[in-house]
Amino acid sequence: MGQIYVVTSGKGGVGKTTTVANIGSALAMTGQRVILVDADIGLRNLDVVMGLESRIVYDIVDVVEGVCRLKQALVRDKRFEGLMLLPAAQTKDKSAVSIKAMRTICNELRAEADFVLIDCPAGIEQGFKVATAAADGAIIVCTPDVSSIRDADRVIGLLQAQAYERVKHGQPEAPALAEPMLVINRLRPSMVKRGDMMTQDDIQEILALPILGVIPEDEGIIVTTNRGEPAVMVQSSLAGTAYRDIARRLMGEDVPLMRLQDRGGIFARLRKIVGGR
Amino acid sequence: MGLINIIRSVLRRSPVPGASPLGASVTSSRAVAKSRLGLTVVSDRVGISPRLLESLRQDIGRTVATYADVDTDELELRFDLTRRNPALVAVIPLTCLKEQWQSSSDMGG
Repeated sequence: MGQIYVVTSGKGGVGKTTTVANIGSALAMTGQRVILVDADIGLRNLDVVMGLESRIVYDIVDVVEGVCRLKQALVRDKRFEGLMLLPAAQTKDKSAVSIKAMRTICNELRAEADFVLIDCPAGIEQGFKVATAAADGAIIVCTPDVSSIRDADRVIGLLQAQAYERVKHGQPEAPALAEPMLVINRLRPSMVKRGDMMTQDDIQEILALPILGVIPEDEGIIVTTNRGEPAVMVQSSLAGTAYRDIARRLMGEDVPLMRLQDRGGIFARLRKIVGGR
Repeated sequence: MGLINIIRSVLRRSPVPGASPLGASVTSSRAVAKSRLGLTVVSDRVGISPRLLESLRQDIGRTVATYADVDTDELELRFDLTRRNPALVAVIPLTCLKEQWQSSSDMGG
């Protein structure tokens, strides 16, 4: 029985889809069975970020409407053994998938995978409610800016309320929903160094959540996304490495956070050459 | 606990925050962002606007100042978020008690 995680943020454009694509690929690279669910009905994007857009036949709304079976809608990623995508519909709107339908689909997927990752739409309306309804746990993506962190805090409050409601209605407890994990995206070590960007400690202090990973700003992400290849496929990519570390943490491994502020300097490079830390 | 430190640093010297709890310089945009955000996030959670909070802080200061010598600049408001219903806590540094305060308590006794 797999774990179902929703990747959410409140604010749009902070890197939810990129995070889903990379964590999912990194998990699959280590041999896990992973299913990615694009819950952004009407604005699907996970398919293009993954480079799977040309292989879609059916989508999640087709499954809900009984046009096809769930397994027929799953797109198998040929690059990674065990990675599949359930695409969103591009023509329908958010009302096409109900909370109940999402729960049914996710519980069916859970039996086929070790990890089900749901890419949540931006906002806190119906699409958010549907995307989070079936999750056992949540991963919050935020960038080190005031609006993203404020929105993240709001979303955390909503997830906690939802976890409370579930218990009230006799559903199983969801502690990982009540205490989501935080991915801080697009951190710029040089700006942190000169005091012009909040640090991961600042953000953790405000949101009071455990940090699952910190992803440095990396131009390479744009290049790999242009090509439809997740950054984790590039060994030298700093962001890719940060995502691979996240995947290991999700599997229960104790991987220390990268010390991004130390990177890039001549001494850091020397230490790397010498082999120390 | 972290949030309380941030709010404390904001409410002591508004509108420009003092040195951050982590010791960043007064002018760093990071410290400003953190202070503003700490206050905003708590007022979002509790449902009180930062402006109302500041005016409440000043009103409490004025009211208490009619009874005792207080350092109104140092008066701090904070939230106790450890309870189910968050409590508003005011910490009011007294410099010394005024004579009226003592006489009014005599009247009450």
